[in-house]
Amino acid sequence: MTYPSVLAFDIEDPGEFTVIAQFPNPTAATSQGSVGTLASGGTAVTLPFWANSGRGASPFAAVKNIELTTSRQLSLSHVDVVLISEKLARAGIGPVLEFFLRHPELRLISEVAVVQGDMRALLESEFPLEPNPGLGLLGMLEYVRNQQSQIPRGQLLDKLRIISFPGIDPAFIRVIVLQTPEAGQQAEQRSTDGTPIPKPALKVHGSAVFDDDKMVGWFDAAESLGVNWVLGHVSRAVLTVESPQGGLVSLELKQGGCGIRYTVSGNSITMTATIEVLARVQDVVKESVPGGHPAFDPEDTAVIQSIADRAAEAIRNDIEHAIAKAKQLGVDVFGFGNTIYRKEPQVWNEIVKGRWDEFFKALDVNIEVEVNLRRTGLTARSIIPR
Amino acid sequence: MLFITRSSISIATLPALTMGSAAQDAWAASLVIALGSVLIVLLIAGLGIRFEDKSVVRFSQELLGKPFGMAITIGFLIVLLHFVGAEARLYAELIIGSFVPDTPIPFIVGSMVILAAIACYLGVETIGRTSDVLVPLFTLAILIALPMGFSAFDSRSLEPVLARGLKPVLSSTATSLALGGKYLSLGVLIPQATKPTRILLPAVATTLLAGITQTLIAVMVVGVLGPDLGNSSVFPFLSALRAVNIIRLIQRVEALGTIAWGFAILVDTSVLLYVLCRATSELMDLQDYRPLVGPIATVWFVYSMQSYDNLLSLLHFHESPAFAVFVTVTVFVPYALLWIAYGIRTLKVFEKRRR
Repeated sequence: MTYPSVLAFDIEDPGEFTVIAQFPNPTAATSQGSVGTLASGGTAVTLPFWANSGRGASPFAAVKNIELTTSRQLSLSHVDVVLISEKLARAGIGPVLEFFLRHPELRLISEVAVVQGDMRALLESEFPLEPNPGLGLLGMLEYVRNQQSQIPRGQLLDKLRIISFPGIDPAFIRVIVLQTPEAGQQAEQRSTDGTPIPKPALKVHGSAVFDDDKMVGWFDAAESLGVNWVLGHVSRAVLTVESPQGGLVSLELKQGGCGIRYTVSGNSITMTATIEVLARVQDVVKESVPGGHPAFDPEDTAVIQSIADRAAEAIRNDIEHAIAKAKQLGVDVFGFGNTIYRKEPQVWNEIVKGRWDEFFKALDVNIEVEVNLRRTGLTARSIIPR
Repeated sequence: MLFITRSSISIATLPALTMGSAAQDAWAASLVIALGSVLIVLLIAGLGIRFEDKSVVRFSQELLGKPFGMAITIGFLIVLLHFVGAEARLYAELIIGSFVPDTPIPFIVGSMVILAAIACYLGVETIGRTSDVLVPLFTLAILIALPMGFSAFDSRSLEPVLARGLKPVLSSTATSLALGGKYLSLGVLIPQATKPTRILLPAVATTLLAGITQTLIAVMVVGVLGPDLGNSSVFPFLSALRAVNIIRLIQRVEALGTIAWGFAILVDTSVLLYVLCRATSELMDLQDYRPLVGPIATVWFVYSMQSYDNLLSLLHFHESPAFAVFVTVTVFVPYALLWIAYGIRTLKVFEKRRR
């Protein structure tokens, strides 16, 4: 049997599904076989993975058709990452969700992302530090979410739950393919100077927002971070603000808390999102002046407060941009409607139900951000050259 | 033994059977079911302890007369056959649907029938000792799996709480309360106990414990899958456990749920088969029930295989009002009549003593 770690779904005209499966290649470790081999100038390199595809009228049929050109039976019980092309995302991912719900081997804990770019090129690219690209991609998604929080939570179960909840729309991770190598191009780069020159194949950046099961637009990193602040899903984020003393201060941010309050007055609903942020100074960028002020001095409370206020302003801007874009696209990724559904079911049933899109576009949202600059790393004051 | 047999229902299908109208309030339905089950135990075991040396086969004839008593007993046997047949078929459908799709269903069902028949033939003592071994393992599996399921919990799934009132909650309890007809086995088992008159308290306690387990499972399933997904799942508890993914190291915890259910099925089907054979032997005035084990096991196997076309028809029948009516007419109404007859007889004895 063979166990694909990545399944990628695409749709061809006229509505035929393509599924690309990426399999780890255990024979590469012993340099046996030629599966996934790149050959140029007489030098053959056996890759530790192989990508093969199948087509069918449904995702299930397409997956089964992969076996027509694979020497082993597929077992889908170890699929870690699910990729969906932008084309399929915009057409509707309902068939893919059905496939995952019904198949006894597939699991809803798989991470799912929408790919912007050539998906096949992505699946045929190497991850320089990873023998198994599927695991490498999985690690990237988890790492970026934990360290930068600029992508949404990624498990398929989470998306299915959100799709079934009233008053909230899902956002999927966005993966941008960076390189689309021509045939043999990667091999030429490897063979020209005798050593491989690895380049990143993809970038994990922002999110794809959906209206139910159809994608309607992209959110960039700042907008996605704004959404995560409101949802309370930020574990770590990076923000660089101007220092009142000149130069830049880089802060590492953590979510201290968040809350959504609402007021319902007749047909008017107002939301207030309160976000608490803990910040730590991680870097300071300022031209040093011998004998002058330190680039960062934690004893100057006015400067500390100013930096905190500027950070709060930047976060507020990110959130407001995200809200504006969400209103423009007509997708409530923040779950404001779901808050009304859960806390005020009578209001939801009598006034809002079926019309949340209208209410959302006219929704008044106040953002209150409080940044608490707590730590300065392992040094307090910047050094002053003498 | 009661705990493991009752909890097996919640592992199997309870959330799906209750969530249809209760949706996110399935946990409330489970609480109602727990209380209702206690009443059922009091109804059945409460009368049984008053005839500590007689099974329901004997005292039903004593209270209502031989023809009517026998008719009631035949109704009990039909219900017990239904329960044991549905149980085996349901578990076989899980095994085949999730793990071994190419295995013929008669093989799975036949294996369960043979195992239960062997246990039944060896006697109630053997079943009890087996239960003594399996119940701790069952409990341990549930105790490990259930908290892990909460790792994927989303409290939004449980809201809004009771927004539609109690009507959907109450209407979704019919099927599960009807499944409480399984406690009918107490009517035959009480005379087998070492101290029959002391059965009631442990029976009520284990029923409450099973009810609490069901409620926690319902909360976990709704919280993990959400009301819509949980309602459409065929085996919601196991589907919810498939969502466990703790630091990417702890996965595939549904194995614990499946194993626990397997233990519960073994004990449950053995007990039900034993009760069937015992009650039939008493009805036929036979000295020993063992010669009936083979024939009744065969009838059980045929019933399991032939009574339902597929899993969906099995679930559909149990979700329909027909099932609740069937159990009410064959179990609860007869027991109500037995209580009335017992009450009248007690009054007559009391009157006689007064004179």
